[in-house]
Amino acid sequence: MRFVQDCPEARLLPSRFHFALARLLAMARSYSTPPRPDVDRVVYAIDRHQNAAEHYAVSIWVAVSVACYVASALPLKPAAAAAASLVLGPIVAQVPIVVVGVLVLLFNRGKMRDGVGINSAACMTLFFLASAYFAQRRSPVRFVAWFFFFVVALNALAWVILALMRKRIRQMEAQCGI
Amino acid sequence: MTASAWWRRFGSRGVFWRQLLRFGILNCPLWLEPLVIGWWSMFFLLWSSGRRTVMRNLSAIKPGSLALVNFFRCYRVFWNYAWTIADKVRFKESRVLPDWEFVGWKHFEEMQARGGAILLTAHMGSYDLGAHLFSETSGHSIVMVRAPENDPETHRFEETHGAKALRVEFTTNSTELALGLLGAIREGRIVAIQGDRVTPGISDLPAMLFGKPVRLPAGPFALAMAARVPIYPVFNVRLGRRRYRLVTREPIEIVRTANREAAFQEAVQAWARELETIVCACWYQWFSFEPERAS
Repeated sequence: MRFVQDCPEARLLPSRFHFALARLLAMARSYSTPPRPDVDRVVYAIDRHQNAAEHYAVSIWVAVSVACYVASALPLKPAAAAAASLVLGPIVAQVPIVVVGVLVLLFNRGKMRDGVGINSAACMTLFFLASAYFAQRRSPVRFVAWFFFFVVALNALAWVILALMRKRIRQMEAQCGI
Repeated sequence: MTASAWWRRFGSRGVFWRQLLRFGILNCPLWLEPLVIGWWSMFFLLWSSGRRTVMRNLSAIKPGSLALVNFFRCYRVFWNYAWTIADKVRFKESRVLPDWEFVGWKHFEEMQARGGAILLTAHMGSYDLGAHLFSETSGHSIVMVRAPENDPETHRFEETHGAKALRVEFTTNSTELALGLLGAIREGRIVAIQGDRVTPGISDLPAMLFGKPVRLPAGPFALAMAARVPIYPVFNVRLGRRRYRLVTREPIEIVRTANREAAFQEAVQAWARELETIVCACWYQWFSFEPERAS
């Protein structure tokens, strides 16, 4: 793991973000001068999962979307379905983690190994499939599903833009001594 | 394994929860982590003794506050605790460190430069992460003192999955421990002790915290007097997801005088003042879950 010391610009390095859209937004923000933190020294870790805002935003988005899908699938009146989905949504969102985690555990003959990558791909695939299913519904839940595809398309576009700007990203990293 | 021993693993200090946490860290997609941690933090509220202690701490820190408000504050304490232990396990499994900020760098540098000192801290932020950061940024090795796990299986689990670079001493035999720590300080090592909680069997000193009489561990002060080294109050504060701040305060010197009691009392009260200031500002991460022993 790499570290950058006392360089406030490093906080918004694209390499500290996971999704292309978040990396592009970070790049856009990096053009303004970052405020110097009011501390003696600061050390930034260079890891693509370092940004809190990005991870909270994605997590809330997934939780809300899954809760909407669960509410739509429940054979209850809208108010009751909405109330039930508040409890069931987070549970449903976590089921794939447990299932894939147990499968990885069995595959490794009972030894726990790092399965974050596999789980991440599995969860995103399931989210994609669920969105594809609910996008075909006539109920308002289709807007939630379409929003998923809108974000995916936007993320793909951001990836292309970032690929074109890779020289600039490299420059930014070099300025921080990476 | 007897039936009761098997069931014990699901108790609040049982090994099952450590294994579940490790499973979660090794499997949870990082973009789902806030959701998962937010959900599982609610289960801490079912831990009645821990919840009651936090509520009691909060009513002392924030006198006159409503019990309902403190209940939600209690959730915030557990939410921070969940993030902290998750960060600790992630570091042990994948060597992922968070961002760090340093306040009181002058004192921190002074502590590193002198070689042989006592680092007195509290149950805040991540003790293990802070110790690792210290051992990676300084040339000195650090000896961590901590209470052993009550459950033998949990103790074994922690030893097996503990970080290799650190020397950890457990407060089981106080005489042997004191001699070992004295030797470590004389060899130029930094001894890290948590000084906000008294565990059964260790000597303590009276102090005033938030206007209430409490007992604080006497060990760090006796050790500082014997080794003739200062005590550096260092606090490890969690600022947010993967963001910590290391706050180092001015050292507490223990003057060797004929009146040992008075010297100890002055030092312990200086420590209590530092503790009170930081806990007042960061009440949401004072992870003191054991009932306080009033004097």
